[in-house]
Amino acid sequence: MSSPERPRRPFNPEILTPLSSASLFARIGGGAIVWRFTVLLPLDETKPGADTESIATVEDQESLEHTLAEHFQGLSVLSEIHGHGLRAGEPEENTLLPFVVYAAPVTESDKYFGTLKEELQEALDQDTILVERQELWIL
Amino acid sequence: MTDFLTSLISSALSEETPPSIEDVFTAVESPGARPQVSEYLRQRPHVRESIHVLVITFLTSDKGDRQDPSMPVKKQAPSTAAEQSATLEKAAQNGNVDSFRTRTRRHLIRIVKPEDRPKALAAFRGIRESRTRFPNDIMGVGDDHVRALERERISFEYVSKDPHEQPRKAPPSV
Repeated sequence: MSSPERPRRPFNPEILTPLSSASLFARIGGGAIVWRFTVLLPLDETKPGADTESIATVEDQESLEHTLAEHFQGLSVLSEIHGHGLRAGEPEENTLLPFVVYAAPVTESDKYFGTLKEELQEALDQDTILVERQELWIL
Repeated sequence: MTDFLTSLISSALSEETPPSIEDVFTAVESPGARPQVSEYLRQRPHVRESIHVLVITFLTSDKGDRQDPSMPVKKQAPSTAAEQSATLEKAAQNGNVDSFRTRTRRHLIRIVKPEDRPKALAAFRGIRESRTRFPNDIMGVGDDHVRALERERISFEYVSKDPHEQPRKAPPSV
């Protein structure tokens, strides 16, 4: 959900560069715990009596994809999903694009995705950006 | 139910009285019979495969049409993995069954011009296949993504083998 008084701005990936390092890389194979982060990027939202409003631009998407691929050595982009729900008593529908990243289970990973979440919230003027973290054992 | 399925499959595999596709769908899709059918098929993978082949054969036969349940099932079931794969592709090309489109080819590509990459992402919207992104802007995509790029005339290069490339002839032996 956005507030009209704050204009959106392009996503700034440079804020993540100081947080990227090889310590974020997940250990795949050989038996290890990894964290799977899923960032749900809002593409648009629809509210009663209003047209569908675009949120993240394709330039934001490209910037985010490129950055995560470089910082984590790859990611998966799943097909769009739709979220429905009530916000302040009003129904709202969103289209979200899931970005899935494997990362090392270390504090630096949490800090990286926490910073990413804040940056996306600021840039896209969203109250919250959903970022999920799951712990997995990779055989 | 199990007797019915057994006779259904037996007759399907014989050359005599083929069941109608309606019989197959009724047996598999009937809500009341579903638990029994599921358990029966779970214990008999060969029967499950026979039903699968039956349905594919019907949907991809020259006269096959899901709208006409009285149409008899065609007999020539694909036997090898390659034949079954070709049959699935034919079904997908005919637009018969989306759920059978599980054998899409994957490609590694690179969109050379950075300014084309946002256009590519716009072209990918609505495609239900997942894709991957690697360092150096290499993308792992499926056939649908490649078709979307071609439709929007967005230039890209294959990092994996170009599927349109003609196989090279072996040099003549001396």
